[in-house]
Amino acid sequence: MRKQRFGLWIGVAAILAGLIVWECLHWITQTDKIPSMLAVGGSLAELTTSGRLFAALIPALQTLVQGYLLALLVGIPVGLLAGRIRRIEIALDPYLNALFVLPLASIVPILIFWLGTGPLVRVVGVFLFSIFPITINVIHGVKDIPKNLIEMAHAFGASSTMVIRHIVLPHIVPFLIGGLRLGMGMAVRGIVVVELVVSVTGFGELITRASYALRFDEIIAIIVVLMLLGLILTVPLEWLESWLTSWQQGQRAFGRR
Amino acid sequence: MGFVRSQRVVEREAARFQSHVSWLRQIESPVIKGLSIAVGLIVWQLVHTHGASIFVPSVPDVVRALIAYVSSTDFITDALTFLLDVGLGFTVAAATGILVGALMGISSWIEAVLNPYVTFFYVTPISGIVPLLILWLGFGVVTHLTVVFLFAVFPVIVNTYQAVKNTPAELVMMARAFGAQPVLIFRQVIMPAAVPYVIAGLRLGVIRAITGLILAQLIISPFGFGERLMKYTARFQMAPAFAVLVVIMIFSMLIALVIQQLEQWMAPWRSVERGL
Repeated sequence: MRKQRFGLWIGVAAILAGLIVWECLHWITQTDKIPSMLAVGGSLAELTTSGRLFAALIPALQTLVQGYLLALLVGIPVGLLAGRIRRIEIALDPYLNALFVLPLASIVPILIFWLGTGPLVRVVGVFLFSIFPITINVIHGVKDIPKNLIEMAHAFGASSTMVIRHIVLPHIVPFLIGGLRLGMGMAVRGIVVVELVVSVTGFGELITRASYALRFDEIIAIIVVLMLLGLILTVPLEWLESWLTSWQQGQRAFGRR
Repeated sequence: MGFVRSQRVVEREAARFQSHVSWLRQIESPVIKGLSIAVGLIVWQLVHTHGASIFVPSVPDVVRALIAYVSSTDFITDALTFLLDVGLGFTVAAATGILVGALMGISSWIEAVLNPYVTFFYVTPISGIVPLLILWLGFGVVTHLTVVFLFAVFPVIVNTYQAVKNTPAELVMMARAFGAQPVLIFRQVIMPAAVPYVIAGLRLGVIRAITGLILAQLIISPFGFGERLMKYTARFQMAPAFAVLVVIMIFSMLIALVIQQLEQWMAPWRSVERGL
């Protein structure tokens, strides 16, 4: 416990040191290329008060949630089916593999051609980015269930729905949460990539304008918002995951956590 | 007598059935995969013929465009650009990632200092930094390589770090009990135990590197595969666009396979449970 706190303090110190180094670089070089933290904070405040930030952020968040929910709605049942029935898993294998190896950024131009530059392209982009980890994790969770548990349940006369409710679902919870976390990370990446490639609406437009005007402080402010978005959306899921799977963390060679 | 003979017949039939089953099992998986791909292509073709012919190119058209593209000289320059950029950016990222990850796994000080940064950049979308990189480094190859590096390095760091940190305690204690020095423990116990996880990180990293490069080619400066994709979709030429997509997919599949082979070669004694 003390060791953990020690690590935390050093981490905080390291972040502060990083910020100080950044500020020093600004004072030494005296260029706009490395803007002062104050300037970044200033343009963040300006973006917020002028409403430009929320005009980009709220639609982005809406489409992110829609695409992510869609991925859950499809990914979880498909994962359950594929985990229980081997033939479905084999049939899905080429598609899941393709989804894993294909750099998703490369689909975005085609998605824009199909769906335009509106909210729909974002929803579909987020969906495609986040469905892979969700489905894969559910499949792994279902396949990880000890066979004899299910056999025993059947021997005692449990129906298939009972097996799913009382054995499969509880067993896959940690895997599912892991999938939710990874999927959320991918969803945030997806929305950012789509916004950047679309570049005429939303965040893409904000960034493009700021970079044409060479407003380094504003670009960094936007980047900070995007990265904080990633952090805020995924970290709670990570806590939930490590809380739910705390029994899995056995002995470690280096004794720290 | 009769009983023994019928018993033998049953056994023989069972054995034949068994071999029948195993033979079926062997071809089952490729057959299902082939059928599944065929169904996908047929559905695609039906979507093409029933209405959406501008949006969804027909399968033969894509194949024709693919052959035309692969036999053109453009393809050679595009493929070389792709392989060089991914190769260079990823090699540097892999070396850096393994080094940093191993240091973080061994030293609690380095771990504590770097952990916030690594976690931050691992969790948050790297693509968000690209506009800033453009302004700092320009539109050239350096920016492309930097994006590839940044995309690939964090999964490698995190996997190596976790692998080194989670070396089974029994192994390290036993080595210590037999009087092994720390350097020896690192080389003989920790490194071999970590290899499968490090390679899983490399596999993830190389896929990210490819994503980074395609993104760079799309939004930084038009180059290679990304340039073709942008050009064809802007001109509503869907068949060549999908041909490029197929090429990118085959390239990434092959690269991921090479990394997977690396595991067979470096850690043949075990393979970690991976994705499909």
